[in-house]
Amino acid sequence: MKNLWITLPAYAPDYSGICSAFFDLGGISVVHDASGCTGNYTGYDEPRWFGTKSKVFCSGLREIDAVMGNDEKLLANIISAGEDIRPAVYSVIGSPVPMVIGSDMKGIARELEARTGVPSFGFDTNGLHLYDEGISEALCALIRRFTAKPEKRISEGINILGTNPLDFANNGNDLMLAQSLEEKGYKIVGKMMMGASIEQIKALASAEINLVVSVSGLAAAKLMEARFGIPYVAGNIVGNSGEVFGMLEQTRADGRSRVITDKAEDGILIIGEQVFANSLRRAIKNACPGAGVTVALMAGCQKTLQGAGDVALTDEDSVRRLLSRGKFQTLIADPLFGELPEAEKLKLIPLPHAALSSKLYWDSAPHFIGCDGEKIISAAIESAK
Amino acid sequence: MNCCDNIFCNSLHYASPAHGGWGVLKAGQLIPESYHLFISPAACGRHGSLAAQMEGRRGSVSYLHLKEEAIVSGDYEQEVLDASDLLIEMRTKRGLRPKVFSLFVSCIDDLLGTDLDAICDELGGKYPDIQFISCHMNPTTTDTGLPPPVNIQNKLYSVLKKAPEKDAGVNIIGVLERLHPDMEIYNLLREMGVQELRHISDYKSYDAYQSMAKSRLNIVVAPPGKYAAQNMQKNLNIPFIMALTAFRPENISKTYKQIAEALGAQCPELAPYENAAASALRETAAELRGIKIIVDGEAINRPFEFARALIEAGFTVHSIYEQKLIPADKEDFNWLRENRPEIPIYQPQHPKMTTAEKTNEECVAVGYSAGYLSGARHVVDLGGQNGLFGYRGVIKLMEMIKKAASEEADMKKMLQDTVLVI
Repeated sequence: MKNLWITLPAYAPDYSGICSAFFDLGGISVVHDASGCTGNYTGYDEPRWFGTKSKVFCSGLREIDAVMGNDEKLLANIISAGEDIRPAVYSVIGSPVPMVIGSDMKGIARELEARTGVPSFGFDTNGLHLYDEGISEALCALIRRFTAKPEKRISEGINILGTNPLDFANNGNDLMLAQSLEEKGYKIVGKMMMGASIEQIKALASAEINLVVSVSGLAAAKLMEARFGIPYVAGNIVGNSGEVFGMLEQTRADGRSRVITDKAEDGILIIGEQVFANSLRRAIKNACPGAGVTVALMAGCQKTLQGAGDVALTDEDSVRRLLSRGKFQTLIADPLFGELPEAEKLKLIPLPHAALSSKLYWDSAPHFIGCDGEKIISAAIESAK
Repeated sequence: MNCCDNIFCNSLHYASPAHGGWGVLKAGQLIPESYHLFISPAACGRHGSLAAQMEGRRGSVSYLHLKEEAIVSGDYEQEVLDASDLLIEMRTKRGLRPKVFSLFVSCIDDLLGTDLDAICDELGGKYPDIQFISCHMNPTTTDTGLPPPVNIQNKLYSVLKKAPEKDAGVNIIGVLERLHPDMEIYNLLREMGVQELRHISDYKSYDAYQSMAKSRLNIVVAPPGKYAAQNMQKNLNIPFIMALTAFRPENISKTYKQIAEALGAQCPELAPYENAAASALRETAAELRGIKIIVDGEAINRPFEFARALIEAGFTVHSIYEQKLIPADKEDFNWLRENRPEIPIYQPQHPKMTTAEKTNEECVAVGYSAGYLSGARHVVDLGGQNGLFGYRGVIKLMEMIKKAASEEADMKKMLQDTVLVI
């Protein structure tokens, strides 16, 4: 039945995406909720939470405040917390109850900024949308606010757009990616958002090129292309594949944006984050041109990145129906998909995705670059034989 | 340093990695042979669903994710009915037809005003062999008379049917885990003529669970069970007694005497038990000389009563972490403020906790939040549902404190091994 989730958990929500994006910025993020929404983020959507200095708080929204529309209490409590913490920015983040009562999160942020002088952002998130939209919205809002037109471009300057622990885990994938780019001679201007800072965001437009490494970074790339004329490449490095580097060089040369994508074919089904899934498919096909691979997305399906025949899934029922079609022998996906009865006959190659399975498997998330990535490719090729 | 001048103040809430507990879904799943349909925006069910997966409870709950249009129109009753039909059919085919089917809703439902009772009635008409109940995960009601931990306990016992006659059994209400089998309450109640000490977690079948309705007394050992006990008195004719977990030996004795009185029985000799508990407190205090104790209100229901017990036995209490003073702990809070005003009281959810310095002193923290927030080198692995009660509860906790003092805590691993939901 549509919208009925019998086996799988929900994906990480939009407000977790906002919190994740602001995590490294030295600000205060406030989820306007009673407790459980913040608990989703701190307990299940943020692998970096243990030992962090990041300031993410819950507003402690109560029934009476909701009924009376008491925003003043929220503002007073944020300002009070800010007096001790002295944040670089504020973000005020909506959840289902503010949606129902019609709270104006952007208006609250404007009022907060007027009273404190600290740059403040409001997000009308509501828990109905997914984390990638939250990250994307946060990143675009930050760029609109802080990124200035540069006096000059940095030769081989590059921004990484879209790193986040819900797609990349917290196992150093982001650092390995940055290191790989630096080893090729690129100078990293901005790491968005794992390792980000306000100073980096201000300087983003001095890069020559943007590398979009998850669907969360695509809107920011398009925004910077429109505003600053910076082209982008959407692709990830999987295993030892150097395809992204070639695309980056081509794009630097001709100024045209590029994405890794291929048309869908029966055989192997990848369910995951779109940029990574596309890149994994390309790596499999490069190694084994005859392999058929389809990419299916439970979260963040962008047309720009979608290969012909790739599938946007909306709920558990749609996954079950796709798996039942009998077109796939292999499933590369989070281990939780293996618990669906329809996946029983498929060979499962596990690809833990924290945005779905959270701490159940985030400690066993693979390194995208190098051996782990190669193992996934090899296993896929083996299954295709 | 207290978080603010009036100690328990209103602020933004910080959720440390150590904050959390069972969550209402896990509590609801205690009802034997129950199935649960969680109806909410997708986000609301995520943490409960993952926690259920981690603990092998995911098989008895499904989630109906409400979309924007359904919320705006408020028109999702048919979806709920359809989902219930499908799930009941699915469970029946597997030989797992539920005896109780709960409809869980989240905060927004309080504002949307869905008539869940009407849906339950409609489903009840269609499936007369199944009891349908509505449950709420609505922390927006935390400061009302019916917050989620209280409401869900009431729901647990609302499916009991009035028994024609009482037996010699007694129920333990208020805690979600059974009291440790080595607590003396089992022996003492037997001596008071109680044949069976019943707890919801004892039952695998709904029919067997109904035996709790035969009990002659409810013993409420933690405050969240009081409202349920009041309703059980009204609906099932089971009287109740408040017998909150205590750590001062004299308080424990007082509790047992009250239980005996409520049962109309003679109270057994308590002195040997009381002396043993008092000795355990004193001996542990002597053994730990130089090591201070940090008390955590998330692990111990009445942290000020516990702190007083420690102080009276010769311990040095370093600090107390408690978010909000509960009425049942007020007397000991006042005693502490009068007699040990220098002991700091921290609100674990106060934003200042994120900038507070960790302690350099040699301390044992009793509970996860206190352990994480204070940075104590030693931490007692103790959550809120810990099965401790009575004199042997004191003795067991003293053993746990001594064990914790002898080893350096791996806080990260401790939290990885426990499943917490906010």
